[in-house]
Amino acid sequence: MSDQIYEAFLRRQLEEGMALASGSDVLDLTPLPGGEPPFRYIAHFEGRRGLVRDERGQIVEFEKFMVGIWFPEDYLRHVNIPQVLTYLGPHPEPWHPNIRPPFLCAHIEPGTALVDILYACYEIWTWNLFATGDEGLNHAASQWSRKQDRSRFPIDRRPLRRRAVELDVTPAPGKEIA
Amino acid sequence: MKPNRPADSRQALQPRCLHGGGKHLVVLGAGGNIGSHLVPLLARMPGVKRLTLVDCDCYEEKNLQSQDIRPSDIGQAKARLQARRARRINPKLEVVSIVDRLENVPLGCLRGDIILACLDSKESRRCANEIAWRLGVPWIDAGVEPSLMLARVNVYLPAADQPCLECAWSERDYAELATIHPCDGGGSKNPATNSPACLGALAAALQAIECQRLLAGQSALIGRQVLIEAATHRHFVTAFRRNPNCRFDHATWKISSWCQTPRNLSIGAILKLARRSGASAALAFGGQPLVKRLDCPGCGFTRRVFRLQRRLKHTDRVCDRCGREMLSAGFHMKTRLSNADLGPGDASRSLASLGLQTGDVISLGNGASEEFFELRPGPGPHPQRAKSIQRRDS
Repeated sequence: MSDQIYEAFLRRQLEEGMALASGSDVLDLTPLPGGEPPFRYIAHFEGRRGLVRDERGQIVEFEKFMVGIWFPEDYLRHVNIPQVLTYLGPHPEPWHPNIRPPFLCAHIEPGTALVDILYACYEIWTWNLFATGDEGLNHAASQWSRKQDRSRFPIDRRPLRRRAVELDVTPAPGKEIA
Repeated sequence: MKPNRPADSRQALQPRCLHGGGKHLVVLGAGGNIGSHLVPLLARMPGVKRLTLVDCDCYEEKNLQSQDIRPSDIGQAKARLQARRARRINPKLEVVSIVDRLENVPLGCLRGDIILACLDSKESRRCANEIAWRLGVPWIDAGVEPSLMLARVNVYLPAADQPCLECAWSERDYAELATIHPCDGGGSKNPATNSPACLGALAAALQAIECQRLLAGQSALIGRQVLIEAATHRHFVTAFRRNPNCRFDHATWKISSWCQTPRNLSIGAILKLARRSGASAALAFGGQPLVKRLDCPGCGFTRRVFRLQRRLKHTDRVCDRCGREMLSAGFHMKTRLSNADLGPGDASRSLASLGLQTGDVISLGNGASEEFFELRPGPGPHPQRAKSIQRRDS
């Protein structure tokens, strides 16, 4: 690869993305073959609730979500969001104003880091982030969300990254820890 | 890809500007606020033999105040009208007009001695910068800012030690570029600059002066900007440096001619040739993605296609069900094509069926090392291998 700036960017994304995945119980990040360093990833989120419309038309909670991320050669200079993000399933009808398979609309600028994209996708899926002012990508989900009690959102408040807990346990005087 | 960079700016300037014969000038945005004033100046310039004028728009009534046109010109394609004017001014001039968006124009059609850009958006200037660098052609960018009565001109020379347009860009500049969102139907049109005609004429005159200097082999303004603040009669000259962290790769392609039309070349035959240069070698289209599926963000309608994104036909792009513009998701695109990506019958397809045109540049290689070829009509010395890869079913 002759473009050293782009190559360094890709290496940094691989490092930071894998670090986020290893610090998360929810995210499984797979770099796809075809380039070294990789420029395509599949991010698999599992264990956090989002919404889907089931075959009976009911809006129900669902815990799996996959998105494909591609950093094209001109990604540092120009962004075409449909090119960068692809909704990959597994549910055919995810229910969110910013998702309409295979498209997913998030705020991405030239050079936005993989980790920021992963957080944005996660926040969209769990309804921490959603547009209400306009019709978005999925008009029906936008209209539905405006009729809901706002306290319903987000659907899942748990964080993407596992929180580090530092416990300093001091035994009570006169007692021993088994 | 393997860049072929001139050793330094002096070396890069010489071969283009000192060879004999008439010069070929390429004007991007040839019919606008600056371009409509520039074309007559270029048509009168000594030593110019050929003009290529690119503009995708037609004249509207609102252009009468800001552009060098008459009421009878309204409704005409800007590039064609300016081409006719140039021919009237200088009947010996060869003039080619291209009515299309800059990013759709085959790279080979823009290969001239100098590129002059009279564009109205950051995104199209970024595109012009990339075209000039890939071709290794000096380019002169002009712009205006009507609210402050500013006119400016920048001269760039593709060379290893020279700054490009993007060398001076910050993160904010990139953030200001139009981003394509799936929810807004795939992009928006730039607002009109609404600059007075006199300011456009001033920028055009500056651009023509620098063009003449470059043609004469003078390089005083290379890597610099001249800005005139017409309201206060001040002028500024700014020198730019090559930014080592520039996001643009500054690669210049060494492009060989391949005397075959896209109609006569099949994908399978080219891939067969590519395999000779390495097991992982593939066919690429100058960075353009190939779309395999389109989806409607409005109603979910899906269509299978196999065509370059920038060469999708209108009938491909419009949804049959709801009339909205269809888009392609990244995981339904390819930027490099190998045998593994081909479905039944794809190998026998011609390059023309993918949307490739004469003048387009394709490359064969594995990403680390690439060979670039411009598809050109007519006989000529083509790499002997061309004969063996002519479309078999033709």
